[in-house]
Amino acid sequence: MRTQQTQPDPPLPPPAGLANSQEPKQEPKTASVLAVFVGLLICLTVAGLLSSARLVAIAERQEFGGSRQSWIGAAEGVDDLATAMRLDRPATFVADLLDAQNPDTVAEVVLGDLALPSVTTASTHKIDDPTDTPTTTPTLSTTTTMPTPTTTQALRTVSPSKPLLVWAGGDSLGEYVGSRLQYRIIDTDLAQVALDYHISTGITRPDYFDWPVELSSVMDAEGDPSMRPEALIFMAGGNDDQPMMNGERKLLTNSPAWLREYRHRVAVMMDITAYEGVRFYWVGLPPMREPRREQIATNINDILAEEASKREWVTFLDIRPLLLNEDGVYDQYIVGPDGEPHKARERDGVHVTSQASQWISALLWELIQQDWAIVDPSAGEPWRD
Amino acid sequence: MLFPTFTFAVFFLAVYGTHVLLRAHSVAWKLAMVAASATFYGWWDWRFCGLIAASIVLNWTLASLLGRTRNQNFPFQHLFGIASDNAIVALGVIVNLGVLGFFKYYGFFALSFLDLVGADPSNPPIPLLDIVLPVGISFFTFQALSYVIDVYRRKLDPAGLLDVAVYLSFFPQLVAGPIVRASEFLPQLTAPSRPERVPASEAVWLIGRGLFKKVVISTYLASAVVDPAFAAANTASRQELWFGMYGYAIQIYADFSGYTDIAIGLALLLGFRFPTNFDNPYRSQSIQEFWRRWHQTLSRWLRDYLYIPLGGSHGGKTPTLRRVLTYRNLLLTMVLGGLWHGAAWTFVVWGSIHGGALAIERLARESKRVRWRLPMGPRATKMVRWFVTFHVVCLAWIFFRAASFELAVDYLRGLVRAEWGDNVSWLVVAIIVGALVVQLTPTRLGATIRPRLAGMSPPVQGGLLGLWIALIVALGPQGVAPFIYFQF
Repeated sequence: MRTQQTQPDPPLPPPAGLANSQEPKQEPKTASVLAVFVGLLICLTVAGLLSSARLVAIAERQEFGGSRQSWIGAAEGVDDLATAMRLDRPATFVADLLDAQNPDTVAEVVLGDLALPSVTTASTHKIDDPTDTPTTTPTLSTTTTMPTPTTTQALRTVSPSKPLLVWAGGDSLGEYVGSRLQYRIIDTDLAQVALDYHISTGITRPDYFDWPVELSSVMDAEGDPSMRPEALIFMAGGNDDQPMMNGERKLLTNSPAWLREYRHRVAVMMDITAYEGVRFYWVGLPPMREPRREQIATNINDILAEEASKREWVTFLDIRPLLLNEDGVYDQYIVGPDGEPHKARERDGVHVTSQASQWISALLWELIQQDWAIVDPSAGEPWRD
Repeated sequence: MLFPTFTFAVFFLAVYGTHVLLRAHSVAWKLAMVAASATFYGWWDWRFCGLIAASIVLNWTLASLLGRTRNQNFPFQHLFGIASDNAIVALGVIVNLGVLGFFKYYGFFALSFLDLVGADPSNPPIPLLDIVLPVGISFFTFQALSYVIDVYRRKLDPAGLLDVAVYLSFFPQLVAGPIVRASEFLPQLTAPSRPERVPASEAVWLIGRGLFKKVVISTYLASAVVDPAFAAANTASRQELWFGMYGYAIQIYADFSGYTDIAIGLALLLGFRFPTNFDNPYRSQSIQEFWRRWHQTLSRWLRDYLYIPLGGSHGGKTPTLRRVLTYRNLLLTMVLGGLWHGAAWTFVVWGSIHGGALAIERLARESKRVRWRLPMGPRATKMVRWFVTFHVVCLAWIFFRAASFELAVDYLRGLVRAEWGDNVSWLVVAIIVGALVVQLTPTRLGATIRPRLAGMSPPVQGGLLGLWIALIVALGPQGVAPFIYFQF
């Protein structure tokens, strides 16, 4: 094997040394591979015993089934041993110290006191005036399955002194749309958006994250009705393509029993928001690349549309018409509402891009404006970034 | 399969057990490593194992052809003369970059083209395809290119198919580097095995350090300040935006260098020494120095396989033309380096900022008429240089991190115009400042700890690493986000 040194050239770096050239040079002390293997075994054992509660949590997050039960059984065995040896105490101590009883991959952002710029009247645009609507703006009628809002009467008057309180929750899909909505309406001082997204969640796994409990807490608003959100936006379900447990009974994904239970959970969620002066906007799932996911997403959307139609305070926003291509199927690239081709979907075939989230947030804002009769002074460019 | 997961820990233990058993049997060991790497990679998407296999076979074939043209006994010598060497290497470059371009850049360039020509979106002249990007394609493509080009340059003899397969698929560096060249890896693969010589303490130190950087520092900064700031750049306070920017600088360093540390440590345990990839980059006093300290394996690759072939700093017949060409080469290298990270205009801007800064620095050094020396003492000059360099790097990171060019502009605008606010926690500030202090004043922590670790037996080292991992698990969140560089 022949090797030669590369000639250095000044503007870019000279050849670097091998690992840890910045450390003092010394002959590294070495060990046999067998001793290292024993060391790795000990490492895994010590880490496993001291983090046994986390092992149980990891096992519980597996999809329902026999494999999960085996994992849980093994993890609980380790946890029992750790507890008996009192090896669970250091982790508990650290958790208490950090006040991290429920550590999560959750990134929760609640923006309360927003620094809002003043309203400019020069670009005042009344979105519900068809003659004033930009030609490139799709109207809500393009979402053919979207029900007509049953409440035609406007809710309270929204003003800069008393802006609309908006809550946007869900999984990572909800995060995208919520944050784009924040962008969409920040130039007004008519609404404040609180984001409450919990990654990798859905309504099939309350053992992992319990959305009804979270939603109840949000609606309770710590007992202060004046802080209760009035417009709630929810988008999740991308992680719900897995079995559910109904008591001790395991419900196979997309089976009739699974769909019944899913419908029940959707209804519970919707009913939690049944307060006077409140509107709940449930954003449907986008088209999915994988046929299996697509079938489940279609069924979930049907449930959402049917349950929403039974409740006058709930609106189901079907985003599929917005995200299907000209042939009516999933596509990563589609012609957007502005008539230009755009990348609408992320490479995983589930998430929507920032661009598509912006379109969805524009539709949501349009719905909110209709319900509260809001005149948005910055609505001249509904699809702006 | 992510490094900081229980699944990977079990996987690696199994691989290491196999390594112990088969280390002395070269062919069996290599087959086992290829199988382990295929399992590791297939965990994301097994379909792309075929892509790596195709890359292995293609590049092995091309390099073998390059090697055979030098063999006078080769039967088709007259067909594969010197001229055909150029054709073979050109074919290698075109196919490797073609595959990378198709998977990574097709959509970007197709959209940009349609935008440029104003094509009818209902009937575009080129189709917009739904392409799934294979994890780590940029890394293994660059490694494959380095192999074929080094054989072409006669710096390396062609290797056997199994050796090439181990090299291109070796799981510790498969998905996010470091970009290990064939000339660095293959000699170690063919060296006689020395099972008694594993630098365990060094590996333990690197793995422990890498896990802490990734799971604790990177993840905390991401959720505490960076993600919120970038998610709501037009509503965040100026304080959030500034610390979001600084926080991202630390986050991406902790994330990527943490991955590299773990990768180097795992490779050490398996008997391979990888090149370093980071050397306290945020202590740099110029952008040139930054690139000598940041992602060193990429900057070396870009220098040797792009910048120098473009002419480097030696193109042009007159001094003026030489300078102009040098600036062009710097800018082009960094713009393409930016595009290597991702198919978006934000990465082009990021590369342009670095390329432009490198050109300006060179201009300043070479200019004889302009005095660039600052009217202050050497220590103050160093501080100013560090301050300017650090902030150029940080501002460029905004384009690297932002989801779109418009969001990056919003972010930059907010840095100046937003209300100051007071909603950044002291812990965030302390972590950012602490990370910078560690880089600016190397504490030689490793030099202090490693000799003590080396004095212990591997089982004791393993026990200590287990304790350290338990602490990291307790401090970190449940679940770990993928490494930032996986997307590249």
